[in-house]
Amino acid sequence: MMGNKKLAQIRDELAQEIERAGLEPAEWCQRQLQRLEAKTRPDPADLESLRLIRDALASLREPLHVGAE
Amino acid sequence: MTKQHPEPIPATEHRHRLRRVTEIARRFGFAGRIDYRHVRSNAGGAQYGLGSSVAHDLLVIYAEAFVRDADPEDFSLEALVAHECGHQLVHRNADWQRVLTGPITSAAEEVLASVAGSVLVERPADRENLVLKAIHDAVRCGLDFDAASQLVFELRRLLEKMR
Repeated sequence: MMGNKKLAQIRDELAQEIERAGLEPAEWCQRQLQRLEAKTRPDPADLESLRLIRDALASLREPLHVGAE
Repeated sequence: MTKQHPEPIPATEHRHRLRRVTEIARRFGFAGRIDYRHVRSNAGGAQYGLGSSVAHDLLVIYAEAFVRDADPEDFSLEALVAHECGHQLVHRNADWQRVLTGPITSAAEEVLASVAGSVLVERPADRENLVLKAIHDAVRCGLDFDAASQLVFELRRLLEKMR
């Protein structure tokens, strides 16, 4: 069940959580990337998933209509 | 989201909505019965029901799914349907069952369903929005942001490899 919470509210709460914790999502993505690249041949599926999460987190700093179609 | 009862729609619009939902759900691999009910569900607009067999599973889409779809600040119909199809994958996919190896909490299932949905949808914006919902739900389960992002990342890469 998807729940009644709107996407905009989810984004706001997540952005607040990141700010409250003083975290930098880009740093998290960079750490994961370095971990994957430490492998001889990073799996393309791993890189694709990481890229998606990086883009999703980066979108929190953009107005919603920019990322949506 | 509106708290009011849905506006009446003609039978042609009802059929159009059912066709649209069915086309999306089948594209995402949903097996089982699909229905559109023009009522408010208070369940976010969509619900998956586990049947006695996969053919008896049920996907119901409600009126507010179309209200949400029309709102640029909310999830698209594709994302809503994909999330419910994700629930079916969690319950029915043999590979997933081997990984899960036992019952999971409903909160954990919601995280999994969104991650699975992000693998099913085609549009980048829908993928990102479902990943954000999964991270958000994982945070609500008590994980900090770092752990929630890590969990969603690990789940998604696992699911991508199972496709």
